[in-house]
Amino acid sequence: MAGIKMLSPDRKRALRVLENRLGGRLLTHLNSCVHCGLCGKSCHYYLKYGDPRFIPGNKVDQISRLYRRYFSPLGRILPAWVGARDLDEETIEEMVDVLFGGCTMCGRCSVHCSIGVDVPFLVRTARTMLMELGLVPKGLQSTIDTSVNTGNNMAIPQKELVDTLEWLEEDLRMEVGDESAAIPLDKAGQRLLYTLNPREPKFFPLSISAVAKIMYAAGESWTISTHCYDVTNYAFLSGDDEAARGLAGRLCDEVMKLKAEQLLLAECGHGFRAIRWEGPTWFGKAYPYPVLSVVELIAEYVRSGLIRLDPSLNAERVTLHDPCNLVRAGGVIEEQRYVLARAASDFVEMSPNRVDNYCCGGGGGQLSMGEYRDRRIEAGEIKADQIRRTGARMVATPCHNCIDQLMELNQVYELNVEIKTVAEIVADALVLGKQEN
Amino acid sequence: MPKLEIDGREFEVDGDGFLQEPDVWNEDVARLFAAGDGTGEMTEKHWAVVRYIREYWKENDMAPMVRKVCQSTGLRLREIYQLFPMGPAKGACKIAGLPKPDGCV
Amino acid sequence: MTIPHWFLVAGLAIFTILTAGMLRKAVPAWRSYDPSRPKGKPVSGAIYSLTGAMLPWKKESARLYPASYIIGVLYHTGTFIAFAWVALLAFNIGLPEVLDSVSVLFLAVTAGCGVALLAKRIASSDLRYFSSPDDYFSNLLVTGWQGVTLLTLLNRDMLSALLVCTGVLLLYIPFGKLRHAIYLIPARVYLGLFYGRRGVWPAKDRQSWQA
Ligand code: SF4
Ligand code: SF4
Repeated sequence: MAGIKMLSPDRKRALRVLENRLGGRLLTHLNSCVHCGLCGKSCHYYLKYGDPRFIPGNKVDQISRLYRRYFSPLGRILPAWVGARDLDEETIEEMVDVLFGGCTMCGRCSVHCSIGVDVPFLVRTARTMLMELGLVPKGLQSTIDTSVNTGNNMAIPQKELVDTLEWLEEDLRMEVGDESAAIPLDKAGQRLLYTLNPREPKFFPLSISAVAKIMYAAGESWTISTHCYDVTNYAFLSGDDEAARGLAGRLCDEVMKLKAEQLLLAECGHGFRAIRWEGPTWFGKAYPYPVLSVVELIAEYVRSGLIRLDPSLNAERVTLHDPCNLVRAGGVIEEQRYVLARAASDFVEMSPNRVDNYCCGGGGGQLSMGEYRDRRIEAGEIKADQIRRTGARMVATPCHNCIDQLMELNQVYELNVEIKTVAEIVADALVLGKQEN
Repeated sequence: MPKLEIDGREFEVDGDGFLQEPDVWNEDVARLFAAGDGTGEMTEKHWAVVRYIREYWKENDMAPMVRKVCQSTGLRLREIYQLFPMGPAKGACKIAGLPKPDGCV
Repeated sequence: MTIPHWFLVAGLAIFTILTAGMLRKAVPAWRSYDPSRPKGKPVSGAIYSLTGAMLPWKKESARLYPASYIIGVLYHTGTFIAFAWVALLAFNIGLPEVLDSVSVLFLAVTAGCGVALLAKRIASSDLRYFSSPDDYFSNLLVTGWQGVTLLTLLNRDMLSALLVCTGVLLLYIPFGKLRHAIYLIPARVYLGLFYGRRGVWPAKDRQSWQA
C-alpha cells in the first residue's frame, strides 16, 4: 500500500482502524461530500466564528482526505490533485483541533447537508483513529479511565453512594409523609432497573429525589443497583469501541443479575444514545429487554393517568432545550414537550427546536476537555441567545451534560434562568394522594 | 498553561479555571475566585462549605459528596445551590482550590 | 461506428464496471449494519430521506442559500439533459427542431450556472480553504461538456468532439469528487435508515420553526 509502510507503528494502526471499518456505510459517507460548503451555517461553531475550519464539510475532509490518500487510486497516485493528505504531524494536529476541539458530533449539519453526509459518524470514526495515536484529550480520557477502573466516572465509593441514597430516601419520606416511600437498592425481580449519572449523587441529587417521588406516585416497581449504575459512556464520545462496549456491557449484566424487566436510563443524552442505540452494534445483537429513557416513562405515566400534575405549581415560564443525542440522534422528541406542557402553565418552545435544535455547545465530550473551554462557551452563545429570546425563567433539559453547560452559559451570558431536569419540573407539579371528585 | 488574572494577581489554572497548583490556595484566592464567578461576597456560610471541602479533599484526595457538605455544615441542599450559583463542583470546589473533578461537570 | 463512437462505448463500459464494483461494496451493508430495536421504520426514513427531506424549506442548506440551491438544481438538470442528448445524437436520432432550440437555450443557462458555481468557489475564501484541484477540474469538465453538447446541437459536425468529451467524463467520474453521482443515493439511504430506525424521520409536520 503506497506510503503506509513508511509510517510509524501507531500511525499504521490508526490507518488500520480506517481500513477495517471500510464497510458500505463508511465508504458511502467518505465518498459523498462535494465541498459545497452550504452546511457552514448549520454548525454552531461556524456560526459563531465564521472560520472555514469549522465548516462541517472540512471536518468530513479531515478523514476523507486520509481515505483518499491511502485507499483511493487517484489519491495514491496524485494526492495533491484530490486534496489527499499524508498522515503527518500537521494533519494530525489539525484533526485533533477540529474533530475534538471543534465538533460536538451534534449531527445538525447532516440533517441539512445538501448530500446527506453523516458527519458525526465520520468524526467519531476519525476520533477512533486519534485514540489509536493516543491523542484523546486528557480530561476526556481520564473520565473514561475512571469509569472503567472504579465503576463510575466520578470514582464514588459504593458506601458513599448508599449513604447518599439513604439520605435521599429519608427526605422523600418526609416530603410525601409516608414511611413506606422508598428508593429500593439492589432489589432483584423489580420491573425497572434505574441508572444514574454520577454527578447526581455526587453534586446534584435533587434529580434523584424527583425521579423517586415520581416513581412513588406511580407506584412503580423499581430499583437502583449500587454496584453498577453509571449511565454515562464517555468512551462512546472518544471513539473507543472496546471501552464503550465494556461500560454498556456492565449495565446489561446487571439487568440480568437483578432480573429486571427493563433498563431505565436517567436523563443523559449521550448515555441514552450510547446504550439504547449504539450498544447493539457493539454487541452485534439487540437487547433481550426494552431499554428506555425515564422521559419516555414519565410521558407514559402522564398519558395513562398514573400520575397527576397541576401545572399551576410551575407558574413561571419554562422552555425546553433538546439534547442532540436524545432527540436528533435518539428519537425521543415529543415525550418531553408533552410532559412539560402538562407540568408547567407557561411552556414555550425555543426556536429552532426538535430535530433542528442547536447543540448547547457542551456535547461530544466538550465538557470534559478543558483545553477547549473558551471555545465551548463562545460557541454556546447561539444557545444562550435562543434561551434569552423565549423570555423563560426556567430551562428544562433531559440531559445532565447539557445542564452543566447551560449553567455556565447562564452565568457567562447573564441569562438569569434556573436549569432543571424534566423530572424535577414534573416532581414539583405532582399531585399526590387520592383523586378528589 | 492559561493564567487567570484577578485583581492583578496571576494564577495558573486549567482550561476550566481550576487552580493548577492547589497548594498556592489561601483565603484571598478563594475570595478572588468567588468574586470572579458570580458567587460574590464570601459569607460565613460560604466559608463553612469551602473549608469543609478543602479539609475533606486534603484527607481523601477527592471532593466530598454534597450530602456530606450538607450534614457537616448543617446547610440545606437548596441553600448550597443558592450560595454557589455554579454548583458544588464548578463553584464551591473551584473556590476551595481543588482540581477539576472528572465527569459531567 | 467511428472511432469517437468506440471511445465512448469503451468509456461507458469501464464506467459501468467501476461503478458496479463501487456500489457492490457500498450497498449490501444496509441490511446488517444496525441491530438495535427500531423505534420508527427504517425504510420510511430512507424514503423520506430521498423525498421530503430534500425539500428546500426542510433543508437549511437550501433555505439559507436559495440562489445557490436554484443554480445547483439547474446545473444538475443540465447534466441530465446533456446525457439524454448524447444518447440521441450518438444514434443519430432527431427530435423536432424546436426542442433543439429550447435545449440550446437551456444548456446555455445551465452551463452558465456551472460557471457561476466555479466563480463562487474561486471567490469564496471559505470554499477555497477546503477545495482541491479536483473540485475545480470536475466543474470545468462538466460545464465544458455541457457547452460542447450545446455546440453540437447547433452544429452536428461537433459530434465527434462530444462523444470523446463524454467518454472522458465517464472515465473520470469514478475517480474524483464526481463520485458523488454514484454515492448520492446510497448516502441518502444510509442517513434515512439511521434516522428512520430511531424514529426521527420522517419528520412530522410540526411547527419547529415557529418564532
Ligand atoms: S456535528 Fe454539530 S458540531 Fe459537528 S460539524 Fe456538524 S453541526 Fe458542527
Ligand atoms: S453540505 Fe454536505 S456535501 Fe456540502 S460541504 Fe457540507 S458536508 Fe459536504
